[in-house]
Amino acid sequence: MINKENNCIHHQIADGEDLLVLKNVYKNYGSVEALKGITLVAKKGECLVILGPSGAGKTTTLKVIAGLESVKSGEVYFQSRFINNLEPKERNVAMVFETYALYPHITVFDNLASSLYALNVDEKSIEERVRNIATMLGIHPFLDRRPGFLSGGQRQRVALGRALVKPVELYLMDEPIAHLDAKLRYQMIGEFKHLQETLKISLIYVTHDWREAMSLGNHIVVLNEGVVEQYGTKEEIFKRPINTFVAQIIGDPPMNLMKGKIVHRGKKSVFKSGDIEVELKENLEEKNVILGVRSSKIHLASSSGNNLIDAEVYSSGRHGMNTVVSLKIGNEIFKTEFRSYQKFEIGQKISIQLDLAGACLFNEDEGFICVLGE
Amino acid sequence: MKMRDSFAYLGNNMEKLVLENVYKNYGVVEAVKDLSFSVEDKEFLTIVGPSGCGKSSTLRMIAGLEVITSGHIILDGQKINDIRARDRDIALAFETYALYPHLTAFKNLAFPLQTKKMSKKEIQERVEETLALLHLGKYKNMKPGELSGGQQQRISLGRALIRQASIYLLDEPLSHLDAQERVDLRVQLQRIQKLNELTFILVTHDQLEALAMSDRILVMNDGRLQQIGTPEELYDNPVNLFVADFIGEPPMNFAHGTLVANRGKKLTVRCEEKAFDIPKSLTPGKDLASYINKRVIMGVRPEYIHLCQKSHPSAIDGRVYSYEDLGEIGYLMVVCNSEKFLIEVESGVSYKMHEEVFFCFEEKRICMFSEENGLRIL
Repeated sequence: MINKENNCIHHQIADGEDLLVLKNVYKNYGSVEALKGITLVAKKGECLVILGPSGAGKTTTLKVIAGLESVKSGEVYFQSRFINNLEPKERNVAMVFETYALYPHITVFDNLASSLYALNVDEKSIEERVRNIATMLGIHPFLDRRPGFLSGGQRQRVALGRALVKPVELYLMDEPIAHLDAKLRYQMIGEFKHLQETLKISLIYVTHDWREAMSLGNHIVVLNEGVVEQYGTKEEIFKRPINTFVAQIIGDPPMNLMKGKIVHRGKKSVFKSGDIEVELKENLEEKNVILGVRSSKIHLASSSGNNLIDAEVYSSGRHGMNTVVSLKIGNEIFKTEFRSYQKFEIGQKISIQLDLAGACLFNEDEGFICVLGE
Repeated sequence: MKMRDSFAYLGNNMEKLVLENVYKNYGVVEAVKDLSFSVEDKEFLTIVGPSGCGKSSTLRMIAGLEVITSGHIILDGQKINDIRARDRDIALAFETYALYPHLTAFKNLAFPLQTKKMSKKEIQERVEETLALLHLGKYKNMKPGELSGGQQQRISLGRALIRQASIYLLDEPLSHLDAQERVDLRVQLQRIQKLNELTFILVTHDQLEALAMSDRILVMNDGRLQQIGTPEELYDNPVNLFVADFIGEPPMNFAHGTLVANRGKKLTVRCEEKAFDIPKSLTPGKDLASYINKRVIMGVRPEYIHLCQKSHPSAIDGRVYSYEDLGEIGYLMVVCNSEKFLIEVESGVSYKMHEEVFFCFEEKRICMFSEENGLRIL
């Protein structure tokens, strides 16, 4: 396996803009290792997304940052200050959980203001700050109502507002929109993005949804089973995934993978998988590899061209105005979307072309080799 | 209420199942109202709608688990209103799994076959085949209690599919699966249905699932049929505001305004300070006179809005509210008047917050609805 703990992070830790740094953090629950050497950096004024499947250690990482969980070993720095032993309330962070836990018996205004009352802020400043945040979130018409009279989406915005009203250096959000319905999520992602960029707040955002990660993250850290698979800008994560796990966590349909090998044909290098041969522009050494191709790079072959590949339709359906198709190519099932209404029958033979610009090659052990066509 | 003779359907091979003016009341609550539709032989029909829309009640009436209040249900040309559930030639899979807890996965699947006098070898083969299709091979000797919710749900689905029946009714069969499993099983379900030429009626609340698998989709809301059609028809030609809003993700954009007739009979929708022209190509044969000066709602999907130059004849100006780059496509949220439009754009472009941008609607893709009753008027 590749070295997951140290990839491309350390040069960034030296950066002056770093707000929060985790260095080699371990956390155990009894004999279960929840975090196994997490290293990451959250920068000031940016959104860092922690992305991973369930059980990856996302929420545990967030709790360690908030001070709600102690660490077994490793260091937590906030504004260059070692804070392992600091109580949650001394940490200058505010956290929004997936369940919104509003006070049901007081108004939306008081829910928003509750964190300021405790801080001895004068009444006029409270009023002003609450109204500003409420307006930005579109909940200003409901300030006099109690949470029970609001819809799920409105309540979620109140919970968000309650965290944002608190003047802190870093906001922590754990799947804040996961249980809203799909349509509302689209709207909320736009709102989040607007809010984060307008207020230039620093934010760490936990999600299992790649779309939220790509939409909101300036940097993304991909976690899996308590280990950092990759830390990078969202462009790096998307274009240069460090292994097949990261390659497949982003995108719908996810990146298609095909096992094969690089062979030489004269002076050319060719990717070969069963009967399929695709000529490459690069000169590469002969070895077993995995080719990764994103859905948008698979095209229906219109005429006779180079690198045609025979495929059999395995299933097909609609995704909005796109046609989603599973294709049997050799022994692999590729999933792709064509940008038009196409009618396919199961078992139909078609011919496709792979656009290899931007495709990724991985070693057999799943580690990244290169991006093709760069 | 219209009464038709069910004989009309005898000998018509295309119609597998017909519902005629079916009502279902629970006390004073009307759960299903005047529902009529037919399912063709070898068709994959999905009934979709929000919770409480009457979709599960409809399926349960077809199955014979609920008595219908009035109307007719005709299966294979025969009226089945009064036929008991177990005597109907129907296979069922429900969201709750109802597996035999003391039997292994294998035996749970084999059970419905043992009552059909099949040879042991044949049963063995069919069970193994079905387990493989549903990715359950390695769990065959485990009992339901040892399996996850998703695995139990797949066994329940397998137990319905392994039977030979005239029609298969599946109620939210993928609801307990995780995202990846769900996508895989959509593919498998479609293959099982098409390759074995089965007739499926599937119920779901998830419109993405409906679009991904079905030949036709029936949209229900508030106990009533809203629209029945192919995925393309529902996506591009919704009959009312409900269907337009329910189908599609990200959702359709809506702009609220007043329909105004200008000189030369040119129609525009006035929304606050902006006026959206109605392309002349849309209006022939449409009588919109009764909607002039009334409130209307324009609807356009994110894929059918394009950025354009200021000089474009129907350019609308707005300001950038947020931009998401998803790697292969991007979504730009633009504020125009007090409404926000989500526009699908190319990825890899950067936009400044509050930057002025111009966009236009793809002419043929503009929908217009009456604000009063939600009906599509254009």
